Amino acid sequence: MKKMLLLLSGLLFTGGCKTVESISISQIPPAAARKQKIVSSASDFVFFAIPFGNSFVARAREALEQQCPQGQIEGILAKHQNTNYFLGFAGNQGVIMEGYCLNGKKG
Amino acid sequence: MKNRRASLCLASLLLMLLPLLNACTYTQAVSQTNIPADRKKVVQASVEKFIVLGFNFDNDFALQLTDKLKGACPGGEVRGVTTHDTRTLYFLAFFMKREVSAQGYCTTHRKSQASIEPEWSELASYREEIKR
Repeated sequence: MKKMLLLLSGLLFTGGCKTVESISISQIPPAAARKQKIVSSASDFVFFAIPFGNSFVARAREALEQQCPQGQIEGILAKHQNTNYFLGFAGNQGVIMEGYCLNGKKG
Repeated sequence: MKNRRASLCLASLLLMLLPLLNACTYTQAVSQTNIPADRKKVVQASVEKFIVLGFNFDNDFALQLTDKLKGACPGGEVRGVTTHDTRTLYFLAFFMKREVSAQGYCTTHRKSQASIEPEWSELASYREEIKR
């Protein structure tokens, strides 16, 4: 029983705990235009509270744009979140963007 | 033996402090507006403020960002704006830099309608489509 509790508590500390830092939503297109949903994400590693780069925002946007090269992207939800692993010694900061591609061809 | 232990302690302490002496940049917030199809001209602007010992009495520096972005696209619209709010800590966090950067696309093919969302005509056509 003790071992089980120890294992469970260990899992709790080593698991990834996510914290939402910020969220933004842009204007959502009408229902008829919400046909093609696109999603992108990017993250940068953090070790001992030292972030290894902050380019994840630009990378996520570029990945979103690549999925809709000729159309507009609307109704964009941008969620910025931090994930902590192993008592917070390691983690990552990342962003997930999802939106709707209007009049675009998937490339 | 005692000296060796003391130097080992000092070395590990320095190792722990090393990251704190360097500048670490953390992202505070991200926002994204609708991205246009016309993504030829990229415009960007940023504003920043240095804060000492955490004393900060206003955040007016952020207000200049809009003007800077508008200045980068005179006569056009700035769309697809990504804002990135970051905080950089220097020297044990005694000094801090707050920076907000914005990147967007300058589109000039439409008439400038800064306060009106550009998709209203498309919205109307979609509504007609739904009614049919």
